[in-house]
Amino acid sequence: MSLTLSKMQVAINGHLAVAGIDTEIAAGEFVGLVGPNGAGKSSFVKAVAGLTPATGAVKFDSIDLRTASPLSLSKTISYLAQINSIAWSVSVRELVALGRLPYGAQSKLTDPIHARAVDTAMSKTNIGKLADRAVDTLSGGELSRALLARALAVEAPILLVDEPIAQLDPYHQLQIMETLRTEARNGVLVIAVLHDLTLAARFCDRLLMLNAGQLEADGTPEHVLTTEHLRRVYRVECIIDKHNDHALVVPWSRIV
Amino acid sequence: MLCLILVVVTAVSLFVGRTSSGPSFGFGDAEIAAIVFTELRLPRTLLGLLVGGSLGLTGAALQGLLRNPLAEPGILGTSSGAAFGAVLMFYFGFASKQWLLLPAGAVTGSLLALAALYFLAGRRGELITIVLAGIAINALAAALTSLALNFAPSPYAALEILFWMLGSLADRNLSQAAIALVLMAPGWAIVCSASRGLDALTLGEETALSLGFDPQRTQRLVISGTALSVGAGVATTGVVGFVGLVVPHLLRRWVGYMPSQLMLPSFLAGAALTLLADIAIRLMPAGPELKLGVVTAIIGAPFFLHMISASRRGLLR
Repeated sequence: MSLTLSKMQVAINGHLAVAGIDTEIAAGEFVGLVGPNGAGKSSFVKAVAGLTPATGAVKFDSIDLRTASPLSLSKTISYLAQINSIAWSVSVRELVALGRLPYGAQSKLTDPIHARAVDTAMSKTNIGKLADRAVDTLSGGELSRALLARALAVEAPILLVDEPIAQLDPYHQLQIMETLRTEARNGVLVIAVLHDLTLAARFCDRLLMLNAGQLEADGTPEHVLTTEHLRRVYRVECIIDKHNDHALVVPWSRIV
Repeated sequence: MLCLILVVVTAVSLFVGRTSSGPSFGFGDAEIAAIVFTELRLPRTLLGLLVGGSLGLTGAALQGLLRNPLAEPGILGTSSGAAFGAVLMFYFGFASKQWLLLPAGAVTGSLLALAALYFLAGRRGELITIVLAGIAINALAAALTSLALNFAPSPYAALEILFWMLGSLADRNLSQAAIALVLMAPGWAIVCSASRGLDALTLGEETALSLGFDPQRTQRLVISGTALSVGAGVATTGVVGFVGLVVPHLLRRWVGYMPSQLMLPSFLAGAALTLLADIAIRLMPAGPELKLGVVTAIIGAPFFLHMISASRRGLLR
């Protein structure tokens, strides 16, 4: 099982946000999508998820995701958006249950299959105790786990997450990254947009580095996070070191 | 619970009437009882249920669609469009010649307002554009209605228009209730078919789309269903405001926040609240009968102000 992108291109108001990307990602891989602001990372995941018009081919095995019905697409790809304003003061359980909508679940979760999927997603993200809490009473860390549980409840073979740890403290960043890695180990194809390069190197199997809509580098974190790439793409000098075989990347100074 | 309340309120509504000397109870003498029941109480009660239910249901759906507890069926401009369509029928004297022309004018007005809404906001319109378009249509319809009043052929016609616009369940017949039902029922069905799409919108349009629910489709369903059912309501009873605003808001903390959970209860509670308001009108001491639209506005507008103030303080949930 693998996701194949051929010449995937996204144009937004005449500007090429993603300029023809070819790559293949296997099930079970945890891929970090890195690159500076405006590099096209969000457009990339939205194009894969079918949320924004794109040209080129996006295939999952033999299925062409571009022509798949919205319903089958919603069961194949689970997408966790970057900014989530929650309109109503629903309970955590109701929020997570939204992940079962593609399967025809009602919000009351009368079907035990859906109830089980919701329970599993909540235990994976360790929010079982918060089930009856209203979402507007949660801390930032709790809310991000609840939102991730919503995405996991879809039980889709592909999980796309846009900046899942952007506003979290180190403890909760590690917690979310561990959950995503566990999902990948269980066979889910995970693509996460990330800004923290050290966490990306620590948890991801592979990094795709985007720059101005182009794929600048693709490979293991060690291969992608080089001084040369970081200078050219991020325009920063970084201190790169190693700890337990994982790269440590500390952005140190701007190149002006 | 809501069903029980509704049954009791309906029974009371059938029992309580009003004459020129104030409230009356029961059905009077045996020979007129059947007439009182079928000609006065039954149409009045049925229309209260239909109009109130429509307002509650569409209010809940619109609040879900716009993800805002301050939304109301009237904001789309379809109510005022319908009212203007009806006013034109009064203005040209068609309403008194053939009673069917009044609902026909109102439904046409509501559909034209909807067409204008689509024209202004576009088929892939953003929600904020739709709200602004609704405000513009409301303003235009109000201006044209004022123009019609300004040039009313006689003081009597002006008064007739004015009274009708205030909204009332009194003096309607069973045929009008039947016409309202025939138009409203498909509107309800269309709105209800959007319920899970409205749940999906809780997390925003992108997430809704990723869950397989196209927000544009949800929007089209809710707006067209609302135009049909609210337009049909305005056609038969004039403008009854604020029920769609107040009811879902009051119910939310009891029945849940998900739009799909809120829709049926809002229908039942909207029907019950409208009937209660109408019963209260009938129980008033002797004098000119209060109009239903006036009562719902007098209760609803301060409630609306309170909601806006609570929303500014971030307390509205």
